[in-house]
Amino acid sequence: MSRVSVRLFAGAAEAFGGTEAELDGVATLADLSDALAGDDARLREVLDQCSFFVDGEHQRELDTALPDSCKVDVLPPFAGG
Amino acid sequence: MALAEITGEDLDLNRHLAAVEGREFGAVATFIGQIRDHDPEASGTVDRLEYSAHPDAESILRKIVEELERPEVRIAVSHRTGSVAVGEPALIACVAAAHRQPAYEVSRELVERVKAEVPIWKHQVAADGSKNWQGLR
Repeated sequence: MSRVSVRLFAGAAEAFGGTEAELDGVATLADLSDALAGDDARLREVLDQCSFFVDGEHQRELDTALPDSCKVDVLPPFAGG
Repeated sequence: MALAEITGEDLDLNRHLAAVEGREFGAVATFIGQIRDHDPEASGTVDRLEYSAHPDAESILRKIVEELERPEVRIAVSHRTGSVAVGEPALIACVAAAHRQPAYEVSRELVERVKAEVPIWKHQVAADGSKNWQGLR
């Protein structure tokens, strides 16, 4: 189980209602999404469309393991251009 | 690389062209991505876009440029953050090469990779004041 520092961006921050969170006891990105979303259906829908930076590495798979004290960024679909 | 930045300032095509000047280049492909007044995800006419970027967006952009640049190809590319009105550029990419084929090819790959890989988001603001995050269902 890991302690994780989370930053949320753009539409994910809006749906969450904040740009930062600290989570305990999350082992994977799936756990992290569960912990953030709780019973908020809209936030879950948004998180299901997001990818993640885990300590700067771009990850999409929800079974990605989270090392202790890692930093996770929650990234809605990119929309540059 | 000649130029690769994420900026809150107005984009200037001439600055990009100057950055890829060279007597060895016979072709310069320029791409301008600008704000249009309509989008299927917007409710009605689009008034402006508000761009935001991840703090690492510029280093990711620079890495893409490094991967695409070769001795015979020079690249200048910038992307806006902040509020950009309809008709204004959000992305300028200039690719200089000896001949048109590599200039066109690298230009296209650069723009496609910027859209796919650089963490930038746009909040679309419609004329009625409503907003939507583009790409987010």
